[in-house]
Amino acid sequence: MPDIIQWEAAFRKGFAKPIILQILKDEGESYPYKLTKQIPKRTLGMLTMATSNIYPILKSLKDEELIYEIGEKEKKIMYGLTEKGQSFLKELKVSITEFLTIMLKNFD
Amino acid sequence: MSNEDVLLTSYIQKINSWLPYPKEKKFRLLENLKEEVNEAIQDTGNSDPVIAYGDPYQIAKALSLSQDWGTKPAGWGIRIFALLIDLVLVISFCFAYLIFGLIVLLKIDVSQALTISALSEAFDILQSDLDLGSFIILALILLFYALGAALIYSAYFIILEKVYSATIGKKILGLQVVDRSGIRLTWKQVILRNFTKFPGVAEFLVFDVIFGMLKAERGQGEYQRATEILAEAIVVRSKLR
Repeated sequence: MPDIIQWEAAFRKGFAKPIILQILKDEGESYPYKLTKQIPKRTLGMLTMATSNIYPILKSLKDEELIYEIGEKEKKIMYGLTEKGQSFLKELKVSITEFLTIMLKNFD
Repeated sequence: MSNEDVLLTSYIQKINSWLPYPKEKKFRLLENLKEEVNEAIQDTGNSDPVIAYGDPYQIAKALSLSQDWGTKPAGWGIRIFALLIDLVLVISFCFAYLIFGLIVLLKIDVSQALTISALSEAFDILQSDLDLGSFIILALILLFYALGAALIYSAYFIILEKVYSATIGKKILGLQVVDRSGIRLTWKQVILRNFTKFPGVAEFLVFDVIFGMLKAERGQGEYQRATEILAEAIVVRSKLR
């Protein structure tokens, strides 16, 4: 039997970036460790993320200007959703919903 | 300091030692990390940061990937120049060692060791008729010295690149050799990367470089030799220079 956990990890992985954007939209600015707690909380533990994985993801979101990094003077470095991130998230959610609807129909 | 503080400080120090960058570039990053890890410790109730936050090597890698260190891949020209400086230095070290070895071995008067007559005297001894037993012993001793020289040569690259992320030639030219993520290399990576420089296989260095050059031309590599692609190592230089 193939390992179902591996399959799950493969398809869940794609939702990491969208859920991070959604969390930043709903709950405002956050930081890496807080996100590793927010993600499983929001997904009922279906999506978890190691702290070591979250840094590169935040970096790539930042490079795409979907999120901003703040805290040059203060100690804590926080991340928040940019305007570009807001409108991109809207677009992304439409696309994901469309995809999931069709997949659900198939599995019905 | 409490036991917890000691654990946290040494954890941050471990991550710090993987990052071969100036203090001012990583100070804030590490301060911030310390707070994060501390929160994780309070949260999980586990005073071991490795369990509460993650393996320091993986965290260092992730942190480094999330930073712009202001470096870019170094081109072939400057790298070959650095290698030439290194070769001059390391071959000088080896010769110094061999001459010193001969002095000790042949009991030459040190004050006259470097004069021509002392050296020719030494070669006279080597050329004089020896019985088989002494010949074998002499050959073994010479082999021992040759291995020593090879060891110095290899250790020069391996130890300097592991501990300082640069050989003397690279340091002079402002080059650094790091993992693809930007952190220091592991022993395994350093040995793999320097494999084609070792005595006995050094002629393959040419093919190693040519392979890398062909790859880079097609835009796939970033001035990496074949063994560097395998080791996931890369030589970088500061963007400002």
